Amino acid sequence: MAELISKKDFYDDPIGKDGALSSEMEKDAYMVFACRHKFCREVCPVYLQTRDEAHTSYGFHTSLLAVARGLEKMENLQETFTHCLECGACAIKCPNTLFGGDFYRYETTTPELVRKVRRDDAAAGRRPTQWKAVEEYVAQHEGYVSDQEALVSRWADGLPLADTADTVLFVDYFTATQGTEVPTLLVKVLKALGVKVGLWKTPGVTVGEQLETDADGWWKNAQANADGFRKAKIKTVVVLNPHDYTLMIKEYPKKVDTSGYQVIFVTDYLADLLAKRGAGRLKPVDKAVSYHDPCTINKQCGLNKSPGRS
Amino acid sequence: MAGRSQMYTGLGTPPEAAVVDKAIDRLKGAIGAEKVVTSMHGRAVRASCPAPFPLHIWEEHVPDIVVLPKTTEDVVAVVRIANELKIPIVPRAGASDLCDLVVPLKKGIVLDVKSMDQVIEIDEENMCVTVQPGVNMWKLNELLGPLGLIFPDDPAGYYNAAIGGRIGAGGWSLLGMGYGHIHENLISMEYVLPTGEVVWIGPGGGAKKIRKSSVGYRFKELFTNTSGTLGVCTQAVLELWPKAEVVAPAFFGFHSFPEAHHAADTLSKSGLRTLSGVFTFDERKVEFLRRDDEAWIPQPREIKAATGAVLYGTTAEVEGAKERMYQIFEHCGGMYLGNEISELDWASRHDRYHLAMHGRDQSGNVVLMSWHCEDAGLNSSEIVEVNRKWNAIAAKHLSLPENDGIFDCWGSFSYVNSPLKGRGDWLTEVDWGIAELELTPERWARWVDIKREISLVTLEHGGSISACHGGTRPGDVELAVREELKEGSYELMKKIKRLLDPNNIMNPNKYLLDEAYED
Repeated sequence: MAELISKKDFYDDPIGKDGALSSEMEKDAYMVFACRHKFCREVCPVYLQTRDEAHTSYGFHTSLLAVARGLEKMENLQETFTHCLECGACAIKCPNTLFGGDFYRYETTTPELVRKVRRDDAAAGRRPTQWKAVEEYVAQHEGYVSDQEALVSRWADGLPLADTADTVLFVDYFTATQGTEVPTLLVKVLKALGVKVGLWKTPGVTVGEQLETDADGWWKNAQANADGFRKAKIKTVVVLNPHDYTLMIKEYPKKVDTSGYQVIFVTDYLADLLAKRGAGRLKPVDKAVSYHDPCTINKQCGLNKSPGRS
Repeated sequence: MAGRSQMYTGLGTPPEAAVVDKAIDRLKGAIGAEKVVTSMHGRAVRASCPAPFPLHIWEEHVPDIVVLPKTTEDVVAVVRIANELKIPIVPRAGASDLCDLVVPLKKGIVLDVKSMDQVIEIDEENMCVTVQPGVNMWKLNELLGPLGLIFPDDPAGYYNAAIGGRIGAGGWSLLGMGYGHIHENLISMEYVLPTGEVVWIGPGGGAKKIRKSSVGYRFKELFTNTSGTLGVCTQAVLELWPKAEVVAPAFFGFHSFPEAHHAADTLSKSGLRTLSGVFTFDERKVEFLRRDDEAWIPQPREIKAATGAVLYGTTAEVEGAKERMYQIFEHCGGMYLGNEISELDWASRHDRYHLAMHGRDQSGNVVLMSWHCEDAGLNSSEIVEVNRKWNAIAAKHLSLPENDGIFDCWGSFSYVNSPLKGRGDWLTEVDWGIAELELTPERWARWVDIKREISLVTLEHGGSISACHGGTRPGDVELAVREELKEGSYELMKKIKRLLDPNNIMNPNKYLLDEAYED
């Protein structure tokens, strides 16, 4: 895996209720403002729709710099920070990342910044419009968790998954309920390759919305996941949701003991298996097939070599 | 509206709060509330351009209102309201200019045309495309590429600049030697005058797609490069070119900048028709690149300066020209830097020079700085001497303790300037770093003095103080209007400004044009 640079610990220090920004935050915002060439703009899917540069990485950083300089207040930025999809296209197009990242070990990290601002706003009681809808969404998904073992296992009924194994599939409730094709096909492929894996039946919530709205709850889930893997002596956790994977490798190490197990994205896992074991009983298909990694794997995790391998 | 800041520095009187409130109501009624931005951050992000910005007085340049028109009719409505209420308008497109073109000097309305982003017609048969002013060249070429066509305007801000701004700034293109700059690639345009009339501007005549006409005045010259002082482009018909089959860049190292310039100048006059760009890096620039650029750090120390060139054209043309280009560089003492640096350096030409971390204090520590590009149009015969004097200015100011960690000099690039040919004159720039976070009124004044000193050298050598970016920044503008334009041009500018903009609403006081209204 590509080394992750720009672990900006100061993003963990919340912007307080008074909205004062630390000097690190001011410099971080300035790094993008200083460029002002806005290569982040035409790559932003939100900007392509709204054509409003306040909704871009440049807009976010400049707005925060305006707060740091006393021109604006945090509570007025919520609407602007609502729009970002956290895809990360802006961050990898930023000259700071492209031409300074490797050398200075510092790059533009807009998705992390947006998450931070949303998280801090929520913690400080600053409520954007449509906040109630977000709360309802999170509550709905937390509801899933109360009965999660049955919920997250249902898709696997009848599939050949082991009760105990060194390697487990981490299939979160979202994938288990709305994206079952991938895990189902994966299990069939693994069977054809003669590989036995288990299913992690209590995947604690990793959804980014919770990290933005209920950080304490999110970290509690993270701790439970990591402790659970170790207690069950899991060696490899195969993650199917790219957002889970991104947060597990980028956020978990900040506060959670992640020793004793490795986390691997499903594409890498399969590619490794095929490289080591060959195609086994898989039938060749005489068709041209293209594969597109999820955007976060490339843009936020630095995994940009085909097929999703570092 | 909040009360006015008492820090306003006297460049003119901004509109009163009551007038602003009235304008907001009128604008919302005319173009729709969703196209009118009044939040502080929505306005603050539209206060600056990539030129060094006086962050210590940011609030003074924050516009009162931002409007996001989608149509010519929207623009006309905004202009008419602004005239009625006598409130300034600052047009803003990509805002990638380096001449403060989009920086409001008197607050007022920023007219942000990015939502005017429609490609109206691609006319393959007649090789032209009609667009709204908010269209970006990169995105336009994504549409044109599959058709085997390009719009060749290629500024450093290629990925974010927009057509309207390119026309307003009279922009310069890295490929201008081969394909022309924006002026050569603009056939005609729709234009909203400061009083709200809509006119079609072409190379004489009213035909929208005719490149040459002998009918009427040639207003195209007048209405490109206006810095937004004479109105707003709302539609443009642009040239299309066949997409080049081959792009062949080459970089050569030299022992000194004079050697590099001699080689570049020799090549530029070689008559190779596929030669689309020739450029040089001086000694200070190469040293600057060695600070953090992984392509330049490993270059042998004997490489003190560099020259690059690029060929665009058909395979048959470029293959022959490449051979000749290499011969000329080698004959002039050049050392080929290799395919990798040649291709990658050219590929990254748009976005590599603007990192805040490039800045250094005199001990070599990183200091966050913003990029300033002081460019000039100079004849070939003057380049080496001007470069020497600019470096002497840098050495003098950077040796002063009070400037340590506040300013930094990042060396010089030069490029062939003449559109569609290589002969004669060059765009040469010296790049500086400015620690904007540390600016104070006194430091800003020192910076303006340094800029003025640099521009004076240009004028001493018979040059123009900007080939590329315009002469509207502090430190430039006084020299532009008092010296460079003193032989009648500035007086004529003032007459035209007052004639077309009787209420002085269009980007007021750019080029000190408030003087047009003094009597």
